[in-house]
Amino acid sequence: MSRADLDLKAAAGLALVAVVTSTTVDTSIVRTLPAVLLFLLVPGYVLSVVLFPEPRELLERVLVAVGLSLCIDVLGGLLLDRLGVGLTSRSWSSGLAVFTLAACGAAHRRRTALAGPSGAAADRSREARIRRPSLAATAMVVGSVAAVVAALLIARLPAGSAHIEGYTALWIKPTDSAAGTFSVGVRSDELRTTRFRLIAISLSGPRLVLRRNLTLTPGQQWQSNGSVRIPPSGSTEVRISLYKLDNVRVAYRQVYATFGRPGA
Amino acid sequence: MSTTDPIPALEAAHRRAGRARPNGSRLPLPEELRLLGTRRSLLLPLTLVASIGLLVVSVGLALSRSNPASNFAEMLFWLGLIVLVVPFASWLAGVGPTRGERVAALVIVGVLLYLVKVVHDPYTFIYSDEWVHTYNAQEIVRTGALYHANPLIPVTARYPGLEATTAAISSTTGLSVFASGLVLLGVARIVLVLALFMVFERLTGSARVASIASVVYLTNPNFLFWSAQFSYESLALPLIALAAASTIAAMRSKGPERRSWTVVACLAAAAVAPTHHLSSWALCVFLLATCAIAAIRPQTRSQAPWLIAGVAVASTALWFAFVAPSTGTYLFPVIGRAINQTWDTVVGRTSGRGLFQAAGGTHVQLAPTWQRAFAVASVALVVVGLPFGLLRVWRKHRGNAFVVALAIAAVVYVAIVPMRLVPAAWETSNRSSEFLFIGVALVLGLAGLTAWSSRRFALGASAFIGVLLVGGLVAGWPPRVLLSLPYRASANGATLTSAPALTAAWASNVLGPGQRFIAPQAVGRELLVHGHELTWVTDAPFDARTVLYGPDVTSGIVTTLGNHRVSYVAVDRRVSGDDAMAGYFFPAVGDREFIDPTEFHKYDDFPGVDRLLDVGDIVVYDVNRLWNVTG
Repeated sequence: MSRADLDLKAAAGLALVAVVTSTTVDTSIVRTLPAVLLFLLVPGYVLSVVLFPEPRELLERVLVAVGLSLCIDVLGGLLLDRLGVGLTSRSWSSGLAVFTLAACGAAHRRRTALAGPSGAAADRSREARIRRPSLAATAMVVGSVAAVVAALLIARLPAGSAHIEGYTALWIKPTDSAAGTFSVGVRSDELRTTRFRLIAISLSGPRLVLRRNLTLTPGQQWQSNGSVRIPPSGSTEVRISLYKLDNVRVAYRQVYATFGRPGA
Repeated sequence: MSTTDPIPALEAAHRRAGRARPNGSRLPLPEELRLLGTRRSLLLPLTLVASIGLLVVSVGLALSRSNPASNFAEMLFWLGLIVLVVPFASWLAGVGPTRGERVAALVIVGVLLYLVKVVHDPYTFIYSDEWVHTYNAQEIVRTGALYHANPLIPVTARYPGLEATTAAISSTTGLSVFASGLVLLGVARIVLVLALFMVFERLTGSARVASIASVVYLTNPNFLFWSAQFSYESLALPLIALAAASTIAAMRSKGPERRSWTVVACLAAAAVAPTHHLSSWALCVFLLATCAIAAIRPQTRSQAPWLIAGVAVASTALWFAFVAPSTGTYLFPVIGRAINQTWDTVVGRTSGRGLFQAAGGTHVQLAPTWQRAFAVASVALVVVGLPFGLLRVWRKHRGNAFVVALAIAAVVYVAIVPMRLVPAAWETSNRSSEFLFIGVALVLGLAGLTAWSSRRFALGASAFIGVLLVGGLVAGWPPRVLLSLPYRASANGATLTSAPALTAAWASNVLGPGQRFIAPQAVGRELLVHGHELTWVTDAPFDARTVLYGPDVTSGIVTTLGNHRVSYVAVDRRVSGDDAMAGYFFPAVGDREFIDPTEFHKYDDFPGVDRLLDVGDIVVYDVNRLWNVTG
């Protein structure tokens, strides 16, 4: 390949890098850029060179390269699924890399068939138009990027809590219904530190299974395990109530579960 | 193809003026005016202004999340949007920018408008349909195969273009489905903007008209949020635009160039078919209409893209017949209801729908008066502006089958606006705008050149675009979710999650993934996507509504649960819990509306039912023994 085929060499190299990183590297930050380029630009670009080997204006080249990449992704997914190889990172990256390399070969042949110097001339004229940006232009670009980044960062900030209502979750999960074991948990999404009293009773008795005072800050979670003795009758129900200590007359949350063999 | 900004009418006037001068001098052409002046590009300054507009929008949305009733937040939101779009629109309406600057400006505005959607909902895909497609993508990542079952909208799994590509990016990069989808849709948005510019430029021969028409399209009622959501048409629309641009390029070139563009168009048309049903149908209609129009006159027959139309129709028909035959049972009843109810409304059998209302659950919201005024004004401007553009189409472009087809689309857009008065047809009218507005944009772009000189036109265009932008958004998006709502909140330095999100996290961590649930719309979507539970919601294809909202636990409910082997039922006492758009957020203090307590408490202490989770508004019951014992 000639110097004018640098773009094709870069595309082929990038496809191979994407295959290697996506199949051997676990770190997402390393895999992301090559993989995104492999999916959204490279195969379409190379195919665009196959279809339009002569130099094109930037608008058309970008549109066709990215647009064709999307088409290749959509149709390639159908093909991989149909082949039964599974839609995995390995099959995707390998499939796209094979397509890209094959297309690179075809693109090179197409370019070679054209008058070579014209492409090189176009490239050179393009290089000549690149100018050093002024300080003001640089400042405006930096300002624009800063504004966009600030907008995204502000969007990720959690909302203030002045105008919302908090809540608390209480749950029970039988871990072995026949043995009478369970786990119980409380998560406070209240807006301030809250004191609770948790009482669990078995209805066959009744007898106290668990009693605990809890003080939970916003976002804090408490979890414990418990067990209940299954009576000879075959089953019992554990009922857990959570009270706010500033109002113990009303159960704030309540859950229950049945243990043993109901109906035995 | 033109690389300048010729304005045919002005050029003709200048030439006439030049001929009239005895010394042979003439008035300068617009391009010459631009080159003669000490011109400084406004691209970067306006990019900075637009970016600041995005920042203002983001601040407004952050304020609205902290205080949903804040008027200041709403003011910032609208101000930011105007700052983002209108200065660029004003600049593009003039003769100053070069073609490259116009393209760059459109890409920048298109991407920044996409980022408005991103900063609106920055944590997850949260619109009603986004959950459906996120689940599809997750399933493809999980199983490595296409065409799994989807309990929300089954037919979506038969159109896996968007989800398969997202899953591919996600599994290859290690990014989440959310991040991968954001990247994919951002790139698709760039394709859409570039393709539309190319369509308009090739049809009008003017980069200036193309940029004006493109900006007009950016103001369509569905562009800001609907077309940016993680949903199949958000990828299909750019592919349609690419197919249209390539088709027009193919029909206007010869030899190898024509063949190459035809290949691009065919690939795009083939890729639309497995991506979105309505979009593939819309592309077929456009191409067939163009062929029919071109075939009428002998001199335009060469414009007929029969091959590309054939590929589009064949791929759409084959996909419909062999892969997604359930599309008919999904779409035809919707279209049938729209037609029937439109007819009933026309003949006075039923009353119409109130404009600017959006219902979530039973709660109805009405857009503020000034917003309604903008919405009416935006439609009025389109209606008033179209005749000027249509006149220009008739005079200058009636020999171009593509322009005529798009002009017909513009007329159809206006013709179906009254369908917004019909409850069952409102959605059809609203959603078709993303296709039909391409015609509106072209015709309005042409209309702009008939009457005004450049400077006055730029000012008028700014106001015009501002009204279209605000009015279109009001008309196309429910007022209750126009601004952001709180999905996460902070208290004492901790991050709190909303109750539906916490329910999903609990289900995934405590019950484990893969459990079968019935739940209201909002918590059901959370359970499906973030809880990884197989969840049916209120409008499931069986009687899930009675399971959730019936007053008693009946044998019918038990049978329903048993038939679908449902182990858990989640109930939500908030009316908004059944709102697929607004039910995911923290409720505002005092802004509560509850369902009937008998519906909410009917499973309490019912034999065979365990109450496993109590979040206050949301309760999860284990109903497994209920149907195992009974059944």
